[in-house]
Amino acid sequence: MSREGLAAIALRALPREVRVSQGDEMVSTLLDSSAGSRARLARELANLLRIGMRMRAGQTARMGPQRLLADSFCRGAILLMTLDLSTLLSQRLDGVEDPLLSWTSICVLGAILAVALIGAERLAGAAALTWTAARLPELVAHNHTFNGIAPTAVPLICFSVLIVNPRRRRLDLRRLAWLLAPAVLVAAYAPRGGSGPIAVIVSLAAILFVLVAALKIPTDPRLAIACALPATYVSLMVVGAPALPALLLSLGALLVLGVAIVRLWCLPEGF
Amino acid sequence: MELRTPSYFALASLIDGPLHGYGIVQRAAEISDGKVRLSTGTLYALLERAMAEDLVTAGEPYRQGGRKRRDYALTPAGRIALEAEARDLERAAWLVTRRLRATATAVMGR
Repeated sequence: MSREGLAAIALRALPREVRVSQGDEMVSTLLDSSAGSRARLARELANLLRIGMRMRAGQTARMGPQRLLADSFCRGAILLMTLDLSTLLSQRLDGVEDPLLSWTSICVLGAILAVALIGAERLAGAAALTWTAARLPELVAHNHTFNGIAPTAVPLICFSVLIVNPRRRRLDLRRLAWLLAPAVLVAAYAPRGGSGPIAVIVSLAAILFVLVAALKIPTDPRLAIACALPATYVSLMVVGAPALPALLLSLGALLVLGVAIVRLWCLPEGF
Repeated sequence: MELRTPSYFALASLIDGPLHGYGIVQRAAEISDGKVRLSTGTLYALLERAMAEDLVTAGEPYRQGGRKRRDYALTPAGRIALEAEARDLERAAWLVTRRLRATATAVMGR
């Protein structure tokens, strides 16, 4: 690859506005500074990556750890609703008969997710909390063990954050495109109607999503925290199960959650 | 803005007039006797900070030999900050030198 190409890739580490305003100029300086020396080029590229990540971390840090944590829980709430909606839908489509799987309940959850997506998070949080509370007696009657009740604490916390500290976002209908996510999940994983090839693609996409979230921990841990919340929710359902995947999921979720939350308070504020 | 060695020499390279990014890298290396070798990322991060604090201004972009450039100039506030830092460094050097001289005979006499 050419030196210009490598410089352009390294430049991607910088925040977009810096790239737009100074990107070409920085590439010029980098190419001149490293002319005739591969070692100097490698040092320059590594330095650009380091500075870019530091600038991004600084931008995130300026929002303050409390706001960042609230943001993470708001995103986590959306992921939890998506997960719940996909699970309920796929069970219902699979013919499972249960009062918890009524079409009314599923449609209400879908509507709450839509409201949260377009940006009315406080309203969505209140509705989600009511929806969860209304289902709680049935849920307890269904399974009153630790694994049956404890996981509900995770969505309850996330929905409460949606009410108390929602993100200030403009209403935007384009975000409704996210509703394709539960549809794809149902198409991929529904026990009887699920499709093998789609399941493979969706699994790969999910792994990529989690990888991106993990890679972003040094500069913006919000996505990692948001992903760890549904993972914690699922791991609480399977806690005590002897299977290795359940243990790995529990430990992984707790580890990511811990590391990412600590990172929120350690982000460098500026260069 | 705290002037560490790289930012001190980057600003000092602008004393004689505006320079573009690579010009600053070369001039900083020259006036520091090769001790300061500014990397591109470090240079632009510190220029960004210096501009935010009104110590440096950036000119209009232009092309030179196929490369995109922009000249940076020291502002009066930047000059004052640089003078203050130079005075502090001079005083720190003087204090240490004086102490070294004062104790030199005692150490040598042991």
